[in-house]
Amino acid sequence: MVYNWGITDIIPMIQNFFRRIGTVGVLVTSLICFYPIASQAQSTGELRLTTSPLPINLKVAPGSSVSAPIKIKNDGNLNENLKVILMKFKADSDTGVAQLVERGPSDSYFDWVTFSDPTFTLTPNEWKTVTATFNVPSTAAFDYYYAIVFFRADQQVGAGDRQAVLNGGTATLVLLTADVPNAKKQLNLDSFSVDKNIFEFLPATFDVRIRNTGDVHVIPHGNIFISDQGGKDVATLNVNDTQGSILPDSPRDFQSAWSDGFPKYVFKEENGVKTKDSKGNPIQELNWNWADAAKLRWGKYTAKMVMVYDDGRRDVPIEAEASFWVIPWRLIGGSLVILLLVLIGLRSALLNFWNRLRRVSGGKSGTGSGTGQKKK
Amino acid sequence: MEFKGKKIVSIIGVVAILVAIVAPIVMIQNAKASGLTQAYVRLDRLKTATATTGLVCARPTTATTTNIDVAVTFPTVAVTNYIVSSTASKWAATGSNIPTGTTAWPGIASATVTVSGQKVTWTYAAQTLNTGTTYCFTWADSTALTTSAAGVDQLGLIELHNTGPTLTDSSQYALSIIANDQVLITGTVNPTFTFSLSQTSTSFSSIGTSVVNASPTPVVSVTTNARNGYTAWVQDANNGTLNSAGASTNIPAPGAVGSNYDLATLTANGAFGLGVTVSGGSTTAATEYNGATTGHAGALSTSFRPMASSTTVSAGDTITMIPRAIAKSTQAPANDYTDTLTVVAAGQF
Repeated sequence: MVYNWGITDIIPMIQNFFRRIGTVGVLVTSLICFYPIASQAQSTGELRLTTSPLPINLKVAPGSSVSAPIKIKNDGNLNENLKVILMKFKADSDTGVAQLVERGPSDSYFDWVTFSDPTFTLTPNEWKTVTATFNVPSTAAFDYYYAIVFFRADQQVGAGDRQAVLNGGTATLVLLTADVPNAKKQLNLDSFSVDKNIFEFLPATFDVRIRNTGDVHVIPHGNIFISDQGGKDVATLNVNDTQGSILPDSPRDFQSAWSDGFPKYVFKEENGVKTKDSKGNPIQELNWNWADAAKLRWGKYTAKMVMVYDDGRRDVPIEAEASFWVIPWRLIGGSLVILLLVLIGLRSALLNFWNRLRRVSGGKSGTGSGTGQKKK
Repeated sequence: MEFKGKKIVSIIGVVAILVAIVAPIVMIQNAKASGLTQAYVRLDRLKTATATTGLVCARPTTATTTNIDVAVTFPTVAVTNYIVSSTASKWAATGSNIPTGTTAWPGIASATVTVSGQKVTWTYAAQTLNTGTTYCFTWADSTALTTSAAGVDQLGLIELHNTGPTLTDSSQYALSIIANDQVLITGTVNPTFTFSLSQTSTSFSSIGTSVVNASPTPVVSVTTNARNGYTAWVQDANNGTLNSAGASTNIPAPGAVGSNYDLATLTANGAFGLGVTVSGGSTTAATEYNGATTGHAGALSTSFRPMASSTTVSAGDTITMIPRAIAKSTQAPANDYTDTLTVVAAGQF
């Protein structure tokens, strides 16, 4: 085949070619420029989510089901495509610290859970209720702890040059109890202590460590009664008034501080924020509120802790006692110094007075008129 | 002329007689007291048959320097009347807690109280009362008065007396008593947990033989009213190492998880870890990840590890995540050392 093209044929072809190239170029450029922006606009900026409620306590009879609505809100400025991931949590058996754990091979109880919306999109400020349904088999017993985590469904940031990539998620913890009659609810006291034996000034912080040796989580509560040397109650503190749970085979520390004294150490704050030292520890300063001057604490104090929990049949008490001293040695030292100075001053004044008296009486005797003698 | 003169005298006489007759009617004032410019009694409880404290206010019409008492007569209501305590001490009055713009009733704090039926009288040494001033006092013992049955426009009387005693001003006031004066408001504040992660990537500009921080540093922010606080965990996809696919090598973790390391001392092998600093509220960094000291970091793991927590409510507490790395002198050069961290936070159980 022979083509015999003249210049008049070629020029329109070239023009047509570039016109087509131009059109394709615009399309390609559009795709390159706008596609990443459109996709990243949903998922690479700040992630900001609000969930409610937390945590969720559920009790269900084996062989039945229970549902829990979880509300989630997109507090960010862009649409968020979200997914629901199921994890579990537990408490460390030594420290009681909460641990988040992914599904293990034997965690068949993950299969009991379904979500109304495993993935969904939230526009800015939009709330959505995701219902988690727990179909609990008849063989279930005791406690199961779930963490329902909301992640971005389409995290677009991939690993790149010399960078760390972050995925963020917010979790709602669910404590599910399969209610069976033989569940053991049992707590033991590990320790009851105060942070020092001798304080100069309050606060004194008490730590109650209670271990759950039963099968299901338990919420104990109680008080610490502080009395002085005379046995008079001077303060009552709440323990676990926030209704914290202790998970089986783990301890939990509850701390209560007695700070009702004068003077007392308080956390130093600037603009409402606690100031911290170079190691990140909050800085304390002595607060002298003279309106509380009557609350100067000194002497030996005894703290008696009484907590109770419901073992399913009755309230079981847990009791312990600890003693400590409050010795405001700087105040005592300062007072002694002032007292000493007063005594020295008093002694000096008395001596001065006595010497004057002696001089006066001596002068009179020198002129021949003794004390008590009538002047002739 | 004489007749005219007599006529004029007669007319004058008639006029004088008429004036004499009319004058008493026109010129003589009524002997009754003036009404107060303003007078009211405000009870603190308006519920029927309820013990209450209250406030008495009056603005005199007659200026005086010899006012010696104020008397308040509470309304008389059929069936369930106001119960006015006859114990004088319960009616002790003060000038405190009175409305803005009014003046404490002079002499009221040291007044002698007498109670007669529905009428309570506070008597004191002679006081000056001005016409442009509203004087008020309160009684603070709720057992002094118990409200009546429900009803509107129940009329009582406030009277002021000068030395004598002479009634100077008096006015009626009205009270209305209702079945229930309080509204029970119930509400629920749900526990909420707001989590934010400022960004999803951070970069090392260059990793050398001294510790460098990734920049910009991602910040986790938590706001929650959860009374037991929250925990934030971190997990690493590469078991704590910063991997280079191109060089098939990595910058290792500083050591086992659970300890805090000074990366500057790990030049022999290089190290990659996470340091966190916290601010606000009671959030504390986990000891192993405490990055407040320069160059300090903890080892990351494929397991979620707590990096910060709080035991109480948080209002915008922040956790600044600082990935830190140091390379050994023989670290293979590559520009694709990367890692992926996952951060999860939840309200405490």
